[in-house]
Amino acid sequence: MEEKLAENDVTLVEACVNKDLTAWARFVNKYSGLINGSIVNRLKKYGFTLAAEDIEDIRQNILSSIWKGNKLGAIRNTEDVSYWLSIVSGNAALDYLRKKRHSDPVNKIPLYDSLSETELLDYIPSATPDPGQTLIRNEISERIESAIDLLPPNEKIVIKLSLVHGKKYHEISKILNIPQGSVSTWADRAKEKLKKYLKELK
Amino acid sequence: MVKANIGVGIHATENELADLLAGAMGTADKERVTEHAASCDECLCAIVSSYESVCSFKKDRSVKIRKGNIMKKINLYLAGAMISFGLSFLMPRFFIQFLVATLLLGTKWIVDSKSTKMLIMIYEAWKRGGEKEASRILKNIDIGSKDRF
Repeated sequence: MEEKLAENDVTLVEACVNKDLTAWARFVNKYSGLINGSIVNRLKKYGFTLAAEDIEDIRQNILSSIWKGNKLGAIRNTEDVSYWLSIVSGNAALDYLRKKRHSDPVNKIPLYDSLSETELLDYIPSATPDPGQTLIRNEISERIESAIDLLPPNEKIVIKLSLVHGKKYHEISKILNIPQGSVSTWADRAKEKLKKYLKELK
Repeated sequence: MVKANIGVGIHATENELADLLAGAMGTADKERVTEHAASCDECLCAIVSSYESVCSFKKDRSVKIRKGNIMKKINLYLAGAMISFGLSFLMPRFFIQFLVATLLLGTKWIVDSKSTKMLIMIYEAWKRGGEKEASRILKNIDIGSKDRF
C-alpha cells in the first residue's frame, strides 16, 4: 500500500484524537522517523548517545503516552505537529536518560582501596590539559558569558544561536520567524557591544 | 498544559516552543517566549534541536515524495507503451504511428528504470574487467540494499 505522504496533519490529528486506529497507524508510520531523529539529536546536544534498543524504548513510551493520554488533543497548532512532536520526543529522551542514570550509575568509581595502581590510573584522564591554560580559557569564557548576559533579549538570543549553536543568519531567521535583515542588525549590534565590553575588561 | 520537564525552574511549554518555531504565535507571546529562551539554555537547546530534527525529517520526506513521483512517471511510460501497442491492433489505419509511439515510450521506460541502469552498469563492468569486476559491482549493490533496509 502506498504511504500517504502529503496527508494533511489537521485531519490526521483529528482522526487520532477520535481514536481512529487506522489514522493512528498512519500517524505512527509518518512520524516514527522524526521521533527517532529528535531523540538522537537532543541527546547529542548534551553529549550522550544511546543504544538502538533504548531509542526504541523511548519511542514506544512517547507513542503510548500520546495515545493513552490523548495528548494530540492538547496541541494548539494542528496544521504542523512536527515541531511539537520533536520537542516532546527530546524532552522524553532527557527524562529517560535521567531515570536510567539514577537507577544505573555507570560512572561510579569503585573504592580505590580495592584497586591496584594501574587500575586506578584508568580512571584518571591520560592527556590532562595544562591547568594554567584551562584557568585562562575558563576565565575568558566566563567573561564572554557575562558580557552576553548583559545584552538585550533579542540580541542575546541571536548571538547565542550564532556563536553557541553555530546557526547561520538565514537559519536564525527561520527559527525565530523574523526577517533576515533584523537578524544581521541585531547580531552586528551585539558583536559591537561584546567587543566594547571585552576591551573595557582588559 | 504540558510543562517541558527539563532542568530546574519554570520553562516554556512544549506548545509554546512549537508555536514559536512554526510561526503560529502572536507578537506579545512571541516576545515573551523569545525573551525566556534568550536566558534559558535548556529551552534554547530544545528549540535548536527541534528545528534541526524537523528540517532533516522534511528533507527526507521530500526526497521520498520525489522518488515516488519519478516511479509513477516511469510506470506511466509503461502503461502508455502498452495502450499504444493495443491501439495499433484496434486501429490498423494508424498501425505504424502507434507502433512508433510504443517503441518510443517503451525505450523511455527501459532507459529510466533502475534495474536496466544496473544491468547496463554490470554489462559495462564485465566488458571492462571481466567477471571479477562484475561480481565486485554486484557485491556493492548487495551491501547498498542491505544498508537501506
